[in-house]
Amino acid sequence: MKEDHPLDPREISGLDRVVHSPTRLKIMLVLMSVEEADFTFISRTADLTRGNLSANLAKLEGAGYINIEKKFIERIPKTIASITPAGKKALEDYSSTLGPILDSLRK
Amino acid sequence: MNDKLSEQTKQLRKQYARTFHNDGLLDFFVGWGLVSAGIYLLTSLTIFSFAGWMPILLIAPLKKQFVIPRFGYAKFNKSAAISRPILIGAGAVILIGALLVAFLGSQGFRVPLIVALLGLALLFALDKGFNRVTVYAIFIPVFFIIGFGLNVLTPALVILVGAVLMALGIHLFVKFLQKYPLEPEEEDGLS
Repeated sequence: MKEDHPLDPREISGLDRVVHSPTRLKIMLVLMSVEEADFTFISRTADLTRGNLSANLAKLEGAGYINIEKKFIERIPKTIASITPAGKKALEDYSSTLGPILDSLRK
Repeated sequence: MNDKLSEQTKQLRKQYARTFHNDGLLDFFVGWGLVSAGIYLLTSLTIFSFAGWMPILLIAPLKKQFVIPRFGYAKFNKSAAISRPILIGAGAVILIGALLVAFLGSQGFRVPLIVALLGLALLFALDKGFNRVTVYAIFIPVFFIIGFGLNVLTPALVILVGAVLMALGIHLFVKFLQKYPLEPEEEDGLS
């Protein structure tokens, strides 16, 4: 462990629990990588069942981290999700908090 | 955005884009173009000079019909290193340059048009940022340049290479359909 940046377990309490769930983290990472995506794309790329995805999308939308809208893509109704600026910031904050903790464990 | 996260999301974007375009359509239509070019070289029938590129118009409808219902829809935010207006400008310069050389030079149309094709294909590949597009963008013009240069480019060879690419495209397409079967339309549970 590095002397000048000791591991502080209290920092873990600062982790955003909405992002901290593996399922929601996968969804956030998928949406961070695209401008917008539909339900099928997220379920395929994050390897999630439709029920699980649906429940977790609702939680992320409730936290204001993603936008969900019904759109017609080529005349077919689609549920389209995109990450919001608040969602991007939450993911960045999560990465900045957890990153150093994991780094200090590796040293 | 912190650098590590930015790099990771960029890698994910590439991976998703690759999978989305791993449906064999590109390979099939590049092969189709070569087969048509080969038949055109063989027969000089004008219809085959059009037949090579006309099916490009089918790529978007086929994507909508087969790929999007299976793999889903996503809009990829472009992270091209070169902006589109610069690429379009460079494309225009290449085309005008090729036409000037073709009309004013003494070498005829073949060489300047192949060089222009290489340039435009590379610009297209830069814009798309997908490895297979880049490979084809380099391979096809180089194949013709070397073939013509060495005088080994027979119609049969062009048709054979095209047929191999078409077979590869069909193989990838079948694999894609098997890997991503059509899921029954379900309610997503989101209002």
